[in-house]
Amino acid sequence: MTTKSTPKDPKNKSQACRVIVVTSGKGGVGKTTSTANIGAGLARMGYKVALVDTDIGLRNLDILMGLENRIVYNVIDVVEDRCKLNQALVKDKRLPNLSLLPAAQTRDKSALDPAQMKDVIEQLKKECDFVLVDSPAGIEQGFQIAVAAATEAIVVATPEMSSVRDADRIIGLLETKDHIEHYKLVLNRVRPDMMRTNDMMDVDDVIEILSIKLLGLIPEDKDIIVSTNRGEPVVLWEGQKVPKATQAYRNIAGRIAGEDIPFMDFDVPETWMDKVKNLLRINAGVA
Amino acid sequence: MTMKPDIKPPPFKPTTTGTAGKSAAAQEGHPLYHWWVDLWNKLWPPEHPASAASPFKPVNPAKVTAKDDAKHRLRLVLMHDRSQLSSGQIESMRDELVEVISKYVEIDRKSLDLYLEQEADTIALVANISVVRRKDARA
Repeated sequence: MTTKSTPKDPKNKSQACRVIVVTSGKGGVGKTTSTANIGAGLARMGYKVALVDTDIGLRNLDILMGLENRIVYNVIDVVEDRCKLNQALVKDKRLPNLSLLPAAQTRDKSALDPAQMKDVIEQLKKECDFVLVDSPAGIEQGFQIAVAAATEAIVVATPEMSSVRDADRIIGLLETKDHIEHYKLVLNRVRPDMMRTNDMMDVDDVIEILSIKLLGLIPEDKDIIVSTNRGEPVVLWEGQKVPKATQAYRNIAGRIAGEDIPFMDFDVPETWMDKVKNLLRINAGVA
Repeated sequence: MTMKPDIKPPPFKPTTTGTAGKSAAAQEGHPLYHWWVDLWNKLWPPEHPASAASPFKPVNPAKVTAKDDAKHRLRLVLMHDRSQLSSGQIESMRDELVEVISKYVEIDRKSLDLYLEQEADTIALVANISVVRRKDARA
């Protein structure tokens, strides 16, 4: 595995900065993984990107980015005037145009209020093309802090009942926020094999139930775990044989930047055994 | 050759329950499937051990899938979530409705059916009430 990335020349910051919150309601569906990869994907395209971790007390974005050893100050230090914003920002070791504003690990969510978060993000907006805000799980204070400054939202869900239910709740809350102009769905941990055998809701089912626009599909991929372990977002992996998730996250970053990229087709070709099974509908091993 | 028991278990039959919303063709299953069921019953009569637990025993393709289960359950849950009505609240609404309607018409209290239904964009509150007779019909 090679992780050498080749960023294009950083574009001059021209248009207004976009603030996008990544949220889901349910925990463990891939909010932080998606924030890290979409952010790194946009930075890889040459945009100036800042990632903001709002999960005060349970920070993890630093781990996924492999930047946990570089943190000196955090967002609470900025708010409480112990440092300047630029001192708290951790520059990515791979991409010079990507930085992380870490959450505090030793405090809790009451240490910050939505207005303070908004002030910090307003400062960040002056220097960035994109600010991606990683929201904590839940619909309480942490969520309110995360969405405060955002004008767009990415709802992350998996094709499971509990995740879709919570996503529906989050969509309801986003609808009440006038400053959120639009929100789209990233469907994570897609299992084409289980969808083909009708053991799982498929992409169309989830989109129909939530009546939401789709931003992208991420296949279930064991390389995501490898990338977390190495602190190298999968979107930055380079080489001949990168995982499907790498391309999937690159596509999402491209779509956010305004490119028209068709959705990936994860369907693996049917083997002859699949064909026999489909003909006879034999439930091998279950019946 | 073993003696056949007097009481035979019924031959394997496809079950087609819970197929609401599926096309007739889907409910009947693939023609090959029926051929397979017939052949299976011929090859292994129901008392044959192979019939009990075999990976090749025909499984009806028209049976309700886990995906359908998930969609159905999720729709119901979301309907209640979105309406922000608990089943307890619906019950008390039901009781109060019975009170009000009973002032005007005689109704069968048990037959009052109150439920939520998902329409295109909105949630409908559906009440199905069978009227026994008008209160003043005899006056």
